[in-house]
Amino acid sequence: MLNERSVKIRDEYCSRCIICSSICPFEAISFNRESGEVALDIEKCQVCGICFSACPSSSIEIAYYKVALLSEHVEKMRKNNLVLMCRGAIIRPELRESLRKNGALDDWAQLYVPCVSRIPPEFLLKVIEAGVKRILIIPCEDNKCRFKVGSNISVSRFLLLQKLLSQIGLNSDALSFVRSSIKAYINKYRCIGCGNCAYTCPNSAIKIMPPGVAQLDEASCSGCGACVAVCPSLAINLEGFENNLILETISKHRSFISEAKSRGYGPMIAVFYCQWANFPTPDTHRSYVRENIAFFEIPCSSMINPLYVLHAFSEGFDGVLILACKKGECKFERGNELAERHIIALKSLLRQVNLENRLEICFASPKYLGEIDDQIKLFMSKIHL
Amino acid sequence: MIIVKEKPLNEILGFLLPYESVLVVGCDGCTQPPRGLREAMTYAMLIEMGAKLKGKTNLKCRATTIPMQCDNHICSTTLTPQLEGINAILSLACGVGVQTLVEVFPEIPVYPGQNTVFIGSQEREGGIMHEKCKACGECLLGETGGICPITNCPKGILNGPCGGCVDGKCEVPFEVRDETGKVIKTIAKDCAWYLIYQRLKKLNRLDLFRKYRPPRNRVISSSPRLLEVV
Amino acid sequence: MVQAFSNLMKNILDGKFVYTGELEPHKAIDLSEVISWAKTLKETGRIVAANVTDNPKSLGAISSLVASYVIQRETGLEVIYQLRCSDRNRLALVSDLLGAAALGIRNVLALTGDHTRQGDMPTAMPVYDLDGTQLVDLMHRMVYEGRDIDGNEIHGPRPQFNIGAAANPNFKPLEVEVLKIERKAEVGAEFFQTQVVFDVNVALDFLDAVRHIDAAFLIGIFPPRSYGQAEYFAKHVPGVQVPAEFLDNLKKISEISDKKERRKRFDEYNIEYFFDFIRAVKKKPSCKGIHIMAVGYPEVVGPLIERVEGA
Repeated sequence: MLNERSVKIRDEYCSRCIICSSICPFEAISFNRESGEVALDIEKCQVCGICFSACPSSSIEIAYYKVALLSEHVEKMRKNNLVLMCRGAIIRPELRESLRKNGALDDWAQLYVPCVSRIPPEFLLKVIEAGVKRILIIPCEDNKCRFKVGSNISVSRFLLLQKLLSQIGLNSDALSFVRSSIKAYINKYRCIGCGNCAYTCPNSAIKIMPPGVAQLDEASCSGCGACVAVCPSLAINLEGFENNLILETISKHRSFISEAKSRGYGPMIAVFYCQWANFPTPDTHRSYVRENIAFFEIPCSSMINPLYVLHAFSEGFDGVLILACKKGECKFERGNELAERHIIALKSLLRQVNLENRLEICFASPKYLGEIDDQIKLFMSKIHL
Repeated sequence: MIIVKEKPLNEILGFLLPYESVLVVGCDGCTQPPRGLREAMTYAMLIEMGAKLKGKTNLKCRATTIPMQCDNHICSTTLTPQLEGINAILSLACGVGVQTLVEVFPEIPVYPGQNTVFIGSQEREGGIMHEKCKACGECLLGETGGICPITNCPKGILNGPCGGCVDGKCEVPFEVRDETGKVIKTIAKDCAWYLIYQRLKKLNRLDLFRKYRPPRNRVISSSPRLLEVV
Repeated sequence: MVQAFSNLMKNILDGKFVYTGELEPHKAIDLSEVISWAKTLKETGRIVAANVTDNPKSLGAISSLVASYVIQRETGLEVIYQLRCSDRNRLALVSDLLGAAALGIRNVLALTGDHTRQGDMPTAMPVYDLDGTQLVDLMHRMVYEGRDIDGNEIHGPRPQFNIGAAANPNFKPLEVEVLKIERKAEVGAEFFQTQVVFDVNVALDFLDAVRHIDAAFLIGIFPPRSYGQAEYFAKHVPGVQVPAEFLDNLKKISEISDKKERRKRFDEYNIEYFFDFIRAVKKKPSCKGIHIMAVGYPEVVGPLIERVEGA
């Protein structure tokens, strides 16, 4: 049985303007001139939400990031500043510092969305109306958008909105944007020059330079983290997803585990999900919990490595599930295949301590509702404590 | 590269179960696959988990790595400060590293975490490691078009190809094994001497192919070997 | 200058066209079967010598040196003692060669030998201290210089045997095989016995290609006892070409239901086919004889040679 689709076109409201069809970066929406039918091919759809924010008649429904839900969330937080950023984007220390300087740091609401281009301008207006003084938008770098054109569309849209806002007399910094994308960075003192990263990088952004140290071309790095997973010396980290940060985040769940266990939940599951395979809403943190399950976001399943998995086990999780994009839907070409290879290798190690069934990789996509929950349920049923 | 293959965890646990505080030492040198800090940490955690499952809850592992385990000076300077309270060492280096640690720290038991397999290189795409050099001590590559018959011919003969070369393929099946030693696939490999013939013909040096090579002096490759460096 | 120590080499030097046979002792101590085959070969009066195989296909068998000696003693048939490098280092090779000489063995065929992985004890350590060519070199030094390969002197009289080596006319490209044969001849190979050839053209091309080499070439043939044997060569022995016509005819004969009739027709057809084959290769000056590997089928050998030589 197929799960319900997360993106739908409501035919009764559709004005047949076919903006959606022309704007979709994956050519998933077709318009039949004869029958007048606008149809969505869900297999091609990547749930970026660009059509949703572009539709002038609000006839496209998307299960994630409903405007009402988001604005309600922001209103509830009662902050003067809003930072709205793409999942692939990063707040660099310089930016954080400038935010701190103008007092925004203690007074902000933060929202991650998979591509800011899914946010329609009316959401921003609603937020301003609700009392937010300043909005900072952080889309990905120009050519790093996971949905091809999302970053560019959102930037041109916000420039237009900025103009409109200044016409009604709003301060120019009421709406600003900075582009930045997650990058890897290499500790050259730790690098042993094995070349694994250079071979694995899908963008050939890493080269081994004399005297045998990996060198990253930042402009080419797309921030998938595949290099992090293959580095045997922990010399590579990803901005915002540093190895230590991930390990600490896992460790922070000790009390969650003991609490959930005392309530009789079980088994305890850690899910490492690709940020493009699972769209939890509202998305404010890069990890969250539900019942007996802790979710940890990673930029691509190919970043998964034995360290995170074994650390999760040693902190008390009973099972670890890796959630990767479906075949052919990886935003970095073949990150999901790499992840699968890593998991097969790790499972062969775990087999030797009889923990093989505690680790699994599954492939899901946000285009069908509940698909991820089904996978988690299936995995849980296989764990026998 | 020195190609290594991890030992089965049960064998490692067999070494380490009598101890309580184990230092897992990676090597950043020439082991392939690399056995650096991450590998050391991975093994430290796996060993603790495995020990727990065997009912030994007080076995604790620390992980570290050093640039080259085969260098006794590096071993002694970088590891000495980390040995406080340690009662056994698990080395993730090749056999040279294990023995160097034994020499440098004679009072601490050192165990190998790897099987040292051969000198070779990795075919990145297929993930298969190929043996390339036997360290025979009298390199022949200059006469054989850069293809080593000592390593690539299962018989290691000097006047090949032998009668087992058919259609350019070797008569001996080349087996790829998994971590348990089970044969997972068999590869029909090219006959080394056939490749040498093709290469020398291309280089217009069939005289080198035709040349009779007398028996090797096996003393040169008899273990243990010593070499004086001036 | 090649000296003739054996009847085989005497015949060759006398310009006679020679025939050799093949005997395969098994993993057993009872040699009576192989002795009876040897007697059959001897009784033909045409087989000048017979090879005694040494762990063929790396299947462990009784020592070929012992078998060679016993066969020669029991039947009077001269043997060609096969010796492979797979199982012996240079010390053992020298020992066995001295032993062979002491026991009156006058022909030795030097072989590199199939890899031990191919055989019934695949976990064995393959030796290959020397290869086939180097073994020829060793034998040549023993016979003509009275020294082993490291230059140590052999006390007393020098061993006396004629040195054989293997060749493969089926090898492609033939150029490689010719270079190898030149190499072996350079270090002292006096006669070559070849791998099985079914296709006469393969044999003729080979004989042309080696005509500049100063050694005697004995072309190897294998009259199949049954259709199955021929089919085995066609399908499972890579590199050996079996002409389709030959196979077809054998298949037709194999379909004859009367056992006696079938046997008779097999013998007749083999004799007919190889009669043509031998007659053709015999015309080549580099061809000094035929090596008939009729293992377990010695009864065809006599009539076949009669047919050729009687004609």
